[in-house]
Amino acid sequence: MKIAISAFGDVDRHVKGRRELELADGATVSTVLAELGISPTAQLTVGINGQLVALDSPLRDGDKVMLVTPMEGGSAHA
Amino acid sequence: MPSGYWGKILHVDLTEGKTWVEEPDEAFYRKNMGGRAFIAHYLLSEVPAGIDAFDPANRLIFAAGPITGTPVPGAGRHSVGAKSPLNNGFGESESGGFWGAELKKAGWDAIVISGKASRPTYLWINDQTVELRDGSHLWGRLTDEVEERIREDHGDKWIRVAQCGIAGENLVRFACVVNDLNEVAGRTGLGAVMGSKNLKAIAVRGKRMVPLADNTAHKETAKWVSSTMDENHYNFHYFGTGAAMTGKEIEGHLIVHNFRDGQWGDVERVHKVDAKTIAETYRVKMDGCYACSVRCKKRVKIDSVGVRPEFGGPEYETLGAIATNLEVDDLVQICKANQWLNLTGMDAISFGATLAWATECYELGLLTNEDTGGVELKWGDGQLLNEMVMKVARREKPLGDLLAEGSLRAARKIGRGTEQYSVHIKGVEIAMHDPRAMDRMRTNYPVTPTGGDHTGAAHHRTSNRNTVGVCQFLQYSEEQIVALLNGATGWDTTVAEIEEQSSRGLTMARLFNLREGIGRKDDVFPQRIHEPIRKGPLSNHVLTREQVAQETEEYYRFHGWDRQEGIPLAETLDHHGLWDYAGFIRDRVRRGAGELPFAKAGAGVGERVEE
Repeated sequence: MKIAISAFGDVDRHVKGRRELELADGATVSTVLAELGISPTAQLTVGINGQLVALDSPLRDGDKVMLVTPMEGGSAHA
Repeated sequence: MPSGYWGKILHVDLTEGKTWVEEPDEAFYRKNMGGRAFIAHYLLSEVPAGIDAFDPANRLIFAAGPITGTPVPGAGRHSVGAKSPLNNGFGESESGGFWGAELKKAGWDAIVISGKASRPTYLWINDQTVELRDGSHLWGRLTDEVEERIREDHGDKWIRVAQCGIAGENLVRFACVVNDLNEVAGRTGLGAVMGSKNLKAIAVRGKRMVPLADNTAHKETAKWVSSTMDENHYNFHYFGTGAAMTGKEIEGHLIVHNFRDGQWGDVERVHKVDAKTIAETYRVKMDGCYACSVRCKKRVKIDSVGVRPEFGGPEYETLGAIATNLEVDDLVQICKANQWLNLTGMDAISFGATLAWATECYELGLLTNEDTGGVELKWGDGQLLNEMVMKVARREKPLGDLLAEGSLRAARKIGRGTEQYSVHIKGVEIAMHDPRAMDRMRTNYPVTPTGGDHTGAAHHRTSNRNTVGVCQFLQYSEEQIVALLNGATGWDTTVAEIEEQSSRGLTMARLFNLREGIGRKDDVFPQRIHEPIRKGPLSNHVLTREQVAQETEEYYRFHGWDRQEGIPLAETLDHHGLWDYAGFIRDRVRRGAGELPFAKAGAGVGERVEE
């Protein structure tokens, strides 16, 4: 299946401008992180089609996955 | 005198038109270091208790730190302070850019301003030559004209200017002190104090290098920042602030409709106004503050509406306050409003939050057309947003004049139950991070001495940096900060010493607030924050008053204050040597359990926060 990805904040450096990923059936958000070389323990907010999801959430063809490094007020990841 | 300082504090009496130099001893510097503690010292020592913030006896203090102006990323920071016209207590705000470093390079550690000039005036500091000059030709002028005219007056394009803007002249209670056109000491209305003194600007030119005891730590740290940019400062370097707003939308704590809704309900629409989109559209470059390779300042240009790069670009707080909170998704109007806030000298956070208060009250019918002078307030109107910037800066009656008071005072003037919609702490509008979702904000907002501050200034990490003059965006460890401090001064400070110093400064600010009648009753969230967010994943969550009270008491304990009232304990005053400031409270001070909790490692709420 093919999914769209976008990244915001520090996690953007792992995505390196990629807009799409081809994944095998049964892939989850964790698969995306592994594919992009992102640590599974990284502080991340993940959305599928705008909805907040967990790392084990399954993906479907055409999903839009957003990866966001959360902001800390006035500080680290603002 | 240690390196890193000049041993000179400039005093200016605007009423008498006099200046003089104070030369404190090294013990003063080691004890207070800079920033907040300098401000608290002069407020407690020189400002009569209970005066109005616009009384000429108020002091306006510009304070550098020992690292300000030294050659290392993040060293372009200075603090500004006064009794605040917004919270009626401790006023403090920090700024970046070049002005603070220039002050230091001119040979000054701080400026303490008292009195009120009989006519518009500006202070001209040319290295060690100091002069009060007629500022009549600057009064009523926008910030860009003021900077340009001062530079023309002296024939030097490198002069750095801090100024109060027309909002400060008009005593808008959230007027800021603007420096370098796009940097501001934004919070707590310090520009209004400056305006109340008829002090339009402070122009500085400094040509010395700040002396360092040992430059090794500075060289190593500067190299570390440059060589690890992607690992440690990627987002700041490429996008600045505001690139991750979609995360707040997804998690449901985006600031929307006066902290009511938590989401726009369309993450792609939020993305339209974030820093990534700005980078792809109107941003012409990234820029930096003094000596900083991170260069996190976006600069935008939109010719069709006269938006120029010298005013920077909207940072996250501005995007939160005037875009998401007001539901404005027109980036052109947002960038334009950002520029006009800098041209007039207004804090984007308090401005946007106060306009959001008014818009919600108007929507509810609590604010009428009579109150607004016929202005129909509504969400999502970028043109109206820009019209309101000018109405407030000019205090145009009735609506601009009303909102120029800030949301709490405006609500108290209007009545009709509107106060419950003012999202403030101590009269200072809460910044654009929702404490219902963010632990660090929840434990910071109620106890920060200035009120609705988002920077974590009640905690050691930010407090330390605001004292020594380092930007909190730099991902330095506390050990790196100490190495820079010791390199600058030649001292042998430790992390424990600067954290204790931070606690001392916070205790001084607490004493000032207590003296001005601000205490336990004011260390609370407003009604709105105890209501659930209306939309999104957090809509079932309620932040209870009990939880906040418990955390507040723990914070008091951490700093050696009485757990019920937050009054510093006798042994805390002993330990920090603060009795000279605490005479007003002598009969209310009690002894505690005989321990000084702040000196213990890992002691809870006030401990260093790792991001």
